[in-house]
Amino acid sequence: MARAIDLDKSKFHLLAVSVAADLAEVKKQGEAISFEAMNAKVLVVRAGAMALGFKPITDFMVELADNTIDLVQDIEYEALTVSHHSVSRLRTANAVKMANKALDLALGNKARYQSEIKAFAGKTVTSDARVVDSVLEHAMKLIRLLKEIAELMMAANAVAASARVEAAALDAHYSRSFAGVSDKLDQCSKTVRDKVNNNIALLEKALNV
Amino acid sequence: MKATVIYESAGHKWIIFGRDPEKKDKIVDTNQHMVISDGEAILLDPGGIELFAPMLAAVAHHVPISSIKRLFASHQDPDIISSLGLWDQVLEDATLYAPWLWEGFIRHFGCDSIEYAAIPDEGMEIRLGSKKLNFVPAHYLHASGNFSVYDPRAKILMSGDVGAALLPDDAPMYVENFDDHIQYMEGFHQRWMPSNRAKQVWIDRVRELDIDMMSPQHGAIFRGDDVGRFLDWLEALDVGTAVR
Repeated sequence: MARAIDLDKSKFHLLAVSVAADLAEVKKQGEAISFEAMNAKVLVVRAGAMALGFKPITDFMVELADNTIDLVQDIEYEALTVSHHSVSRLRTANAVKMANKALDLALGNKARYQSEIKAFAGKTVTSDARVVDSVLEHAMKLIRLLKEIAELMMAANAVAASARVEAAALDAHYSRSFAGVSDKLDQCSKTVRDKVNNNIALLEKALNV
Repeated sequence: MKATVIYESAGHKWIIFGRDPEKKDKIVDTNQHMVISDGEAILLDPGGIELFAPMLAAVAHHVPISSIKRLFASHQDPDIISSLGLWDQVLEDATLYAPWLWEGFIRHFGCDSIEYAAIPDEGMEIRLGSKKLNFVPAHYLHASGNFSVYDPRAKILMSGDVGAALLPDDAPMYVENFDDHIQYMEGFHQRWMPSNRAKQVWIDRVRELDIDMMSPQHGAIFRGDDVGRFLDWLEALDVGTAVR
């Protein structure tokens, strides 16, 4: 659970934007996996009976790529929502600051209608808390989605290993081709995992979870 | 923030807020005007975001915040109306009167709950309590959509940037020596006002009004004969001088 969060100190609005920007690369890798899956399917057809063991692997790669791209779309939405709310939060935090400053001045000057400023100051705190809650809610959801992608990439890793085993059983030409597919899948999954884990770490650090 | 009552008669009052001692050095000093009539208040050019807190505290000396249902922005500059996003949160059921031309721009300051009442180019009249206020066209003085405010009851013209002077911090609220005052406003008008034609149209329009006081958004207030002196001086002044 998030606690003791200082959204100002963490410059959370900038972090959310950087997460959104990083996702472009994740999406690109998802598309690369999809492309490799298509290549592998063609290879399976060409290789015939000897590559039958590869069929479920290519099916899984297609599913993996589709899931990754779908998840990236959900993550993009959440990251932009977090970014939007974080920027709104700059406004609400400023309103709290200004209202408190006005209240101090009104109290100091014994302003006749200071009670209205007090009410306003209370209202700004409530609005600010509401926006902070919203930032946190969407940020936690963002982390959950990023973790889902990281898990998918762990699965991709396992699939790459199985593909390598299957490739080794084929003749030299197909073995090289399928090993190439396996390497690319491994590479894509590593790139995505690095990006995603880095963003998860940054978000968790900022949210103190 | 200093508050000066410049007119008061039978439930009708003009107050100027300005000369804020807490103001940061590099922020231009501004006069914020409030007109109160029969318990209803309007803020004219309520000021920049940096001045919001002292302005709100100062206003709370004079009227309940809930009695402010109207704001007016002569044009779109930040020293005029960048506090809008904060007034938007403090005022309830309020309306901002501002040039139609600037609606899409002024809304960038934050205008979710306040209603934007677009002033047409020819100006308009509103009622504040039982009194009238006129929004008088002042286009290109200096903004391309710009209005002055005339109060026929108090005979006050809030002239926005026309008549503005960049004065030392401790300057008096009223112009005391017109000739001496010229040095503080000459450069401002020559550079900020882009059009001699627009200037003349405004002068001709304003000369038809019965004015006791002309109160700009920066600097000091012109009273009595100084109003006419100012109009004559401005008429003779060549403006738009930065054109190369």
